[in-house]
Amino acid sequence: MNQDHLYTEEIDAYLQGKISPEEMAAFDEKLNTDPSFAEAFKNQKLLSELIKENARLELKDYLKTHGQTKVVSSKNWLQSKVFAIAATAIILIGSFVVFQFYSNTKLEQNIALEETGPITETEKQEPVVVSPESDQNMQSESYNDKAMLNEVPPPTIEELKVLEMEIDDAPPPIDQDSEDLYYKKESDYNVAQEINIKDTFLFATSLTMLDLNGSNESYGFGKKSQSKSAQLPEAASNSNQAKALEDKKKSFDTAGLSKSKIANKQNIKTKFIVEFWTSPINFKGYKYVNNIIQLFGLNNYNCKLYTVNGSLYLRHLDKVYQLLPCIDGCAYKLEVDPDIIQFILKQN
Amino acid sequence: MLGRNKLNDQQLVDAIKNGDKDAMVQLYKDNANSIKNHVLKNNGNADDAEDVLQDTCIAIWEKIRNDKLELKAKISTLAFAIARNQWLKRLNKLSKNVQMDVINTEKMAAESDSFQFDDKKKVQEVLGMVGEKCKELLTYFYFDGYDMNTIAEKMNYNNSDTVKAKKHQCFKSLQEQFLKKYNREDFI
Repeated sequence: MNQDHLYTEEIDAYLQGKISPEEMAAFDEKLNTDPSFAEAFKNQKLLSELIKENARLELKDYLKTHGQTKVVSSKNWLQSKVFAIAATAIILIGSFVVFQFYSNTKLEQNIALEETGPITETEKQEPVVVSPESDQNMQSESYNDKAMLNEVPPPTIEELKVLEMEIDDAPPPIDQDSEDLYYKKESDYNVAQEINIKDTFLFATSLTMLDLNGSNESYGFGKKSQSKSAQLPEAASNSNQAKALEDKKKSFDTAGLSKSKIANKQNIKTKFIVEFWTSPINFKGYKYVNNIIQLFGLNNYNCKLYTVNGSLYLRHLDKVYQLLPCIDGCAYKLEVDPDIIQFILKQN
Repeated sequence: MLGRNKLNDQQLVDAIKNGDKDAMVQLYKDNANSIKNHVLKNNGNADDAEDVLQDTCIAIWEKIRNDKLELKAKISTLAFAIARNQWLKRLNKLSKNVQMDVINTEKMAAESDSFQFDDKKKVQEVLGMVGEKCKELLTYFYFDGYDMNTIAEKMNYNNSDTVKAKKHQCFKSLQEQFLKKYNREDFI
């Protein structure tokens, strides 16, 4: 074996760290004392590094030809419109789910109310005449439902129907000075009456234009209606019949109609656009901004709007909800006042 | 590679141990986003990011091939750590180069242990001076760290002595041709 070979073996072992510490010390000593050995070491080290580097370059070339295409394409995919649309859809669905969860928690509170609330009424399909029952000098007014909402076949999700409701009767005159008139007779309440399909749009299931001649003034139940309400089973069970009339009136003022009194000051619009919406996630609730009311999740379109004491109420089948201005979507809140419920349910 | 199932970490290590370059391609693709983003967020450009990613994959390849990798953590974690170090080294090197330009000490460069292989063509040229068989054998020995028996097995040589003799022959040939054409200083 020649000298070169020996150098190679020894240096290889050193470069690969395969020598003992004693051998390493001897090796270092040799490097410092033997210039030709040092020269051979440097050459061998450089060449071994060149071999390694060449192998790395070959691997890099392999990566370039086999790896990069997919990375680039995945970048393109990320930037593609399809991805943007998919991401938007996911975000939208996600926000709907969150919204539904939020509204469900609200609805749960109302379910409790629904169970305890006084609900007694049967649906009347025929128009009825409501006679004035008070001793005020007011003319009797008839409420003639020319067309019930439930006579309109429920539109499909593809068509949004604009329905218009008109009211024949004007708001009754109000005499605020008379104490007896603090509560007014039933005929003072306004009932939506006529529906005409006007237009179609997408997405919402139905849209109702409801012209409601509500009054901004403060008025309420007449004494007779109050006493009448006391005869109702719910009212009877909830209130002490032995109580004086004035006490009852007082309790109405403080409890049942307190909200309405506050609402009296609000300017209730007399013309409403009512939209019936079906949410893909079955959100139930409403939005009420200005004169636009969006009703979500009411499959039956048998709805009517009423103003009672200046507050706005929605009657859906045998349930009565008070509608308060709500931008972000509110759950249907069942009215708790049995007298208001009874009164509204009595309207056809 | 197309249609091949994705390998888990252990399968990936085993595949690379057997010299499966497609396993390294998987490594490359799996870690491309995180590593490139890291470099791009830390003053690197797209070329830097690509280089670091490639170097990281090759560093892992070398570690696995030299049995220097213990699979204690996820390979993606390891890859990211290596990439971070690689990028730090490059940044340090850049700042060192700036300093060296200022000081201009040739001696420092000459005595430095590290070689400069910036000219890739030159590197490939050097190794091109020996035949493919020699290159393969030398790569197995120096790059993959295989012992003579393994190389004998891989390259169908009779025994380790044959490999040893062949290796010496190849190395000597390379050395001679290299010294004819280049100086060591060309790579320092």
